[in-house]
Amino acid sequence: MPKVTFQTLLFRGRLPLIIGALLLFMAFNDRSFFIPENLINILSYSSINGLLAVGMTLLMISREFDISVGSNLVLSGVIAVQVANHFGAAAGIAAGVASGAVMGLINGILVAKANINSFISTLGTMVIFQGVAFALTDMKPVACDLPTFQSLAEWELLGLPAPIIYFLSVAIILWLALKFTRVGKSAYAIGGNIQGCRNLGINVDGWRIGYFIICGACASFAGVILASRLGAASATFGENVSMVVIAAIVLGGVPLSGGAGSLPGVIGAILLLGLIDSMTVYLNVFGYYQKLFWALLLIGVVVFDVVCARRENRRLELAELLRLQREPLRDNTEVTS
Amino acid sequence: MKDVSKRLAQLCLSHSIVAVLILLSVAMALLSDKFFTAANWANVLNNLAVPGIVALGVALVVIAGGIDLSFSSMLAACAALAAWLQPQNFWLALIGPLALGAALGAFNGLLVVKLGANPLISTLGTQWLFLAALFIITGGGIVQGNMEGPFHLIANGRLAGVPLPILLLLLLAAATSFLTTQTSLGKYIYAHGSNNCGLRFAGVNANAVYLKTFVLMGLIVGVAGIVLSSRLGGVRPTEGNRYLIVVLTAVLLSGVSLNGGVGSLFHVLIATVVLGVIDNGMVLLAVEYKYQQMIKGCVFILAILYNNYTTKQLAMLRVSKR
Amino acid sequence: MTPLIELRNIYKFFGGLCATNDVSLTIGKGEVIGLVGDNAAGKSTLMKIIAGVHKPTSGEYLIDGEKFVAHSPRSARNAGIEMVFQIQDMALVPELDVADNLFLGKELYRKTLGLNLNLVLDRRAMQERSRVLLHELGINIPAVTEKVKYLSGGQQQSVSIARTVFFDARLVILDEPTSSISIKETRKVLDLILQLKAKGISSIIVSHRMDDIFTTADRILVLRRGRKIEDVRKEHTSMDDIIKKIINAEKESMSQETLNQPTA
Ligand SMILES: Nc1ncnc2c1ncn2[C@@H]1O[C@H](COP(=O)(O)OP(=O)(O)O)[C@@H](O)[C@H]1O
Ligand SMILES: [Mg+2]
Repeated sequence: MPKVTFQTLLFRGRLPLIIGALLLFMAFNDRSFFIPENLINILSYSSINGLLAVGMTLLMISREFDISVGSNLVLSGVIAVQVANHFGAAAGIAAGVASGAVMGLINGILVAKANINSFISTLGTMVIFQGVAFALTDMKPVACDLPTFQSLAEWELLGLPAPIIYFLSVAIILWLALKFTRVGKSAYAIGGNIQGCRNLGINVDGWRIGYFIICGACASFAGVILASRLGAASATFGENVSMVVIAAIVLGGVPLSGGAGSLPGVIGAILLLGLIDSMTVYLNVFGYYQKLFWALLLIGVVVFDVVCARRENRRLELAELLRLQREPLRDNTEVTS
Repeated sequence: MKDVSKRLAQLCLSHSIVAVLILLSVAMALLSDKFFTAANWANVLNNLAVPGIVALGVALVVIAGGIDLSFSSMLAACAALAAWLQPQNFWLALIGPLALGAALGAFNGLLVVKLGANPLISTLGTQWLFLAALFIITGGGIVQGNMEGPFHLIANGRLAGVPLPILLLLLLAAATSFLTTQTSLGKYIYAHGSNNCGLRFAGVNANAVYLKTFVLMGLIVGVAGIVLSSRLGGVRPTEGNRYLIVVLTAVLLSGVSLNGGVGSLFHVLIATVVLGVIDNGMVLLAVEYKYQQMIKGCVFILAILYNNYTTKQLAMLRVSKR
Repeated sequence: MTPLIELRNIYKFFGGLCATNDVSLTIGKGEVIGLVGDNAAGKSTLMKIIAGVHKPTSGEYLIDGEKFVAHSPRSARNAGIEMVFQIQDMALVPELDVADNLFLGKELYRKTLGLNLNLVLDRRAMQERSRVLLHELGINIPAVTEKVKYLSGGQQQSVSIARTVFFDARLVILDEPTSSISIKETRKVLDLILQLKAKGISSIIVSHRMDDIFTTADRILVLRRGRKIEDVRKEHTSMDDIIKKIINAEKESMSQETLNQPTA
């Protein structure tokens, strides 16, 4: 039976601990940080990144990733706005989300069928998707002032703004899928041992394409919500979101080597990043301290995990050594007694 | 006779990126008579000097089985340091960026090699870290250097009519090619990428090899930083970011495998030139700017597909030889 | 006379798993040792400790009566210990060619500007010597410039074996060297061990094939669950005995344990 030590507790609870420490720090510094509006604001702000992250979690568990989500977000927003301007809000929203699924499909085919490493292929499609957005918009922002289009992200439920509700519902659906259905089991299995899955006759390529589509659709949903909230889309924002999202997923406990991790961890990491953002605003420090904190957090956690695993290993070894070296002695005492 | 044709096929397949360059150049020469002029080539290559040099360094790390995403911030940091030191002392402005590059490379190396952190994630972290540190140190503004004197000549001078950055790029490409093909460190870099356990079992200090690769990359980025600084005169902290995609595409396009152990520095140089020719071609053909990025992305994916195809064919040719 | 190698109370853990449990042994000069044991008995782990790959969790390791402190394959190789790893360990570098693999870590250099700077590799000399050696050993490889990844498992194993012969070894460790090579090549490997012995070079051979063990070894060790349970000269035992030790050891140790526990 694995013993629960202080170290394993520290290891498991590192994100909640960091969040707690930050909140405590804010509690001493600026009580107004805790007014509900601000907390909701953090959540609302995090829900775009959150949608991207929960969408990519399945993909990363199956040992692939997608650095084109940032461009996907941009392009689907542009498509949603332009289609909405021509054919109405509902068509725009549908087209936006569908375009993301298609982008996911393209990535999936490049990775699963054409066998290109996902880093390379999604780097390429990242450039392409943004290029398409450039071409569609002539590199100028496009606006949509249809009230129905903007109302997608306007409403509230129990005081929670719509983006949070969207984010939470997608997260819950994906969490259920991950935990209780074959969708999740296959992701863990493929991430753990893809060749083994192939040998067992699992449709590995089909699943992987599916995860890319889920990831793409979530990203475009986020893009549509963003466009609806701003009433506009531009081909030039949303750069580098992908890397933040991948970093958050890794922080949340999904290793790049796949096969492990859970959705709540990822959500925790997203909230942590949002919290840091909001804190830097509140403390009114220079904007780039936010990146600095993220960087230190990412490097710190990665190093912490490695060191923790090493020390845990060492501890197990020493404990077992002591037990074995004591054993013959115990045998003797038992015989003499 | 059959042997010769097989040799030829092998040669073509193993240098597919060269074939791409030749085809592109021929197509461009047919489409535009300005393409094959000395002035145009000097222009193309001159623009490539900075990303080309950086790509050589990044390729070394990728061949060794790692990756380093922090080069964009390293480049900006080295360039900014050069711009800051340059009015004070010419030699300091050369040594300082090199030392800084080596130190930042060593920092990445320590994270990846000694602490065993994943290179992709940890160098993403250091990319942010170096950039944020640079922002905080410089206050976010431009670091301004002199626009004259010997330092200014590095990027703007000519030797025998050839711009110095081009010579520097070719020199570094030759040096890194020599390193990887003729020396034991180069051999170990490939071996580390292909099977680091095998390298260790053979009695080589594999970790030292890996660490040296990161430091070497830092040095090379330092050189690129000097050139960049000399060209721009004033350096903004975000200056390196626009090279992020170009450098990664050049490295991957050249056939350097992310699995490590595969690739050639000569091909990296050629791949950078290919990207330059595409850029240049779109300008010469007056392709509207809004379409350029889309075209670049599609060419990249097609080239990667083609590369994968030739690699597979090459392996088939090898296996069927017996 | 001090033995070549002496291990004292070596323990090796992987996390909570004890792979080598209190093993002590000596290896004399020119001695051939056969090491047998069930799967996961810890044979490879013990051999890797001797070859410097693993650092023992506790215990002492002496070479020529002196403590071996710098646990690395490099220092073990410098001390004259060469090891042929089992196929699963993939000790060769697939992307390098045969000659590069044979000379990995012990390269030959060309003179640069008339000086021995150890800078420029002498690929031609290494290829030439590889060709000669492989020919002498009767190993059938298409070309020494072929990448190792294009070789079959057996050919790869032959290359690993050839590597140990190249340099002045004092102890050659062979971990399941005959697991995937042909009968003819197996003969050659066994001959090779006897040749080494004639030259006064010690060797350890790990194998599941009793024939291999009994044709070459002077002494036979049996490992079981990380413990050394037998260490006899070949004359004092028989194939049946050893097989019983490997297979029936469970019952024996059970009875030992029941003896030790008066309550049972
Ligand atoms: N690098 C390692 N990490 C963790 N466990 C290992 C490692 N190497 C070996 N083991 C474990 O140690 C035990 C002994 O393995 P090994 O020495 O390979 O056995 P053998 O060669 O006798 O079949 C096995 O249970 C194996 O799973
Ligand atoms: Mg074994």
